[in-house]
This record gives sequence, C-alpha cells and structure tokens, in this order.
Amino acid sequence: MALEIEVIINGQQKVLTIEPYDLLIDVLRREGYKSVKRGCSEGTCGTCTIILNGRAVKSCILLAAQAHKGSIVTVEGIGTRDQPHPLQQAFVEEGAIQCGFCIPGIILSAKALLDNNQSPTKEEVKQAMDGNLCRCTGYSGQIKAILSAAAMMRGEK
Amino acid sequence: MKQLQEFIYPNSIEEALSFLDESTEIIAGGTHITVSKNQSFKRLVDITRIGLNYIKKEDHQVRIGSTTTVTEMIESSIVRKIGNGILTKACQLIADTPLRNIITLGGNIARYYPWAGLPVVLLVIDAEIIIVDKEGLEQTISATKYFKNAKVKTGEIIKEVVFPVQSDWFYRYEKFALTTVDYSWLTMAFGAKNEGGSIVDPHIAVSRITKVTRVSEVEKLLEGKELSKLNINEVIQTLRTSVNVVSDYRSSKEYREHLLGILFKRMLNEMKEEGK
Repeated sequence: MALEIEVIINGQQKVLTIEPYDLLIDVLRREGYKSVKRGCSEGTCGTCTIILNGRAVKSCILLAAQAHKGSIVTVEGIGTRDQPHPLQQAFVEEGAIQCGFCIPGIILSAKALLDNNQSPTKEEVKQAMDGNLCRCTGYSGQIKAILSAAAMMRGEK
Repeated sequence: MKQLQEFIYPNSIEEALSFLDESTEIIAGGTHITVSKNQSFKRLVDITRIGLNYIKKEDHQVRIGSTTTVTEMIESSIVRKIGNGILTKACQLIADTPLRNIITLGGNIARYYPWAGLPVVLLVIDAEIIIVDKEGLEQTISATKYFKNAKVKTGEIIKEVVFPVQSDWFYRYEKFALTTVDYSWLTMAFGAKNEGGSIVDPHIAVSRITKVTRVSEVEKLLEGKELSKLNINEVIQTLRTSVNVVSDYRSSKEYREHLLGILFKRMLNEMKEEGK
C-alpha cells in the first residue's frame, strides 16, 4: 500500500509516493540523485552514504519511509562543476580520486564531519571515514584532502 | 520484502502498542530489517518518534531511552561517567560511523545478535531494562534475567535502560577483532569493586564465542580474593572450562578459549596495577 513521505532533499521540499518496502537508495536514484551508488547492499561498503538530518547514514539499509519529515543531502546538493564544494576542490587538488565510485559517499561522510567539527584531527577524520571503503585510490590522499578542505573552510587557504 | 504493506508513525507509546500484533515488527534504527531473513511481517511501526530518545541523569543512575543512537551515547558527557566510561568505550567499538548514527540502544537488546556489543556491558553493570507490556504497564527486568531467558515479546516495547553510575568500580570492556570496524571475534566485560585490595562483587560477561552470558563459576571463585595473592593462572583455567565455547569458520574452540584466558588475564593484571 503506497504512502506519501515529506522530505527535504538538497534544500527542496518534496512529497514522494513510495511503497513501504522501498529502500531509501532506490527512491533517491529513481528521483534522479544518481550520485548515490549501490555497492554491497548490506550496509558495509558505504558507497550509498548520504546525510540524513545532519548525520552520515547508509541509504542501502534504510527504508525510504524512515526518512519521512527528514532532511537529506546528496552530492548533487553541495557543489557544481563551476563552483565545487571545498571538499570536492581539495579532492581534485590532492589527486584523491581514481575510479571515483566510492567518492560521493566519502565526500558526504567528510561533509557530515566538517559540518559538526571545523578543525578535526587526523584521528577524528579517520574515525569519521571508517564506514567508507575505497579499493583503489587509498586513504592517505583522501585524509589529506579532507584536512585541506577543513583549512579552506576555516578561511586559512 | 514485498509482503510489507504498512508503515506506521505513532506519536506515543500507547499509540505504538495499539498497532502491535503477530504480523507486525517494530522498527527504530532498522539496520537489521532490510537484511534480516525473517521477513514475514506485514506492518512496521516506527518507534523513533514517540519520545524515547533521551539521556537523563538522576542521583546515582542514568536513564537512556531505547531509541537513543550509539553516536548520541558516545557524544554524551553523562554516558562517559557510567562505569568509568565502559559504556562509551563499548559504543565506540560498534560497527562504523554511519551505522553508529542509526543503531540504537534498544536494538542491541531486542535482537541481540552474537556480535552485539552492549549486552555484556549491561550484564556487568547490573543495568535494568524497562519494558512496557501490552497493557501499557512498565516491567523492570534485570539485564541478568533478560539475557538468560526473558526476551522482549510480541506486543511489548523496550522503553529504556537504567544504568547505575558506579564510577568507583573497576571496569573493563574488550572487543577482539582484526580491525576496529570488523565484527567481534570475542566480546567480554568485567566489573568489580576493589575493597582494601580484595575483589568484591565481581561480574564477568562474555559473548560471541558463546550465547551472551555471565560466568558465575569464576565470579564465585574471585569473590573476596586478595588481588596481591591471586593465582591468575588458576582463575583463567576455570574461566576456560566454565564457558561453553563454540567454534565457527573464523576461529576454533581452542583458539577462542586461549584468547578468552589472555584477555581476562590482562584485565585482572590491570586491576592489580590500578589498586596499587
């Protein structure tokens, strides 16, 4: 039995018609947010990470119905090609992207961290990223990029 | 999961209770729902909007609502005082950040998977679980009784857990795993008072290598023993034979028994050191 949920996606108020068993990842992709990637489908790899009500969560193991009256952020909502988010800019500058599949999830886990903590330590960055697997770029460049983006956002770069 | 027909958002415990029946499941964080094999439920009742998200400090205890997330517990300065930080440490070692952001305290209790981190903590700190039954009445069950034989039944909701603060006790928690985000290979917790160099009221709990349980044989053996004269090898030998260790594809019974002894030996040595 279909139901309607009210959500804010990237600042836009939406009313979506969903089935109670629809996964959040499927609804987001159906609505055109293709940055949300399907990886393991069991909440392990983190490619499907989004920000829900200010926290990074894995959309492949959440039901869309759980997001009712919530606020969602995907990569589509944080920067454009011409005006990238400082995190996106820093990832390009550090060469922290190879195949790119895990990157939308990684950017959002990093954004959730920086939104709550302007000056994270390297350890805090590592902990915030512990739910996102990357199998080709490697993590050290990504950690550098996140610390560099934090400095940019504090106006130090 | 196509059998699922309804998703309900009640506003209160009473309203939530009115929807519960044999074909209904409760959902909070929901991390197990989409991957669970038992998918016969036709209705889900979301209990994250009925006021069970809180951490309340009282005189010598802390009440934590069942839908409080693991991240919220980690960030709480009140939780850090419980058992000298044992609950905070156990929470930090659960899964990974995006999962800790949705996994709840109640979920760790309602369906205690073998790898769940919190049951052993509840056991060693004598936590009490408050369950609201079908009639809306609150039942208080000690963690020891709950994990022995009292699982939450259809029609009931776990409301909160009451933790004594007990900051003058000695507590240790250990999750042995290959990486910080790996599933546990062995989870154990230990708590006791040090009264003038003697062990008083020891609590030992283990899980993952057996069904989550307290180890009363070793608790009896340790009661009243002087730390300086403690025969640790005898204690860990008793521990290894008292726990019904099972093997799985990751590690053998012998390996796990050995590990169990090593981890407990370290805890006892730390208690000795701290008491000096």
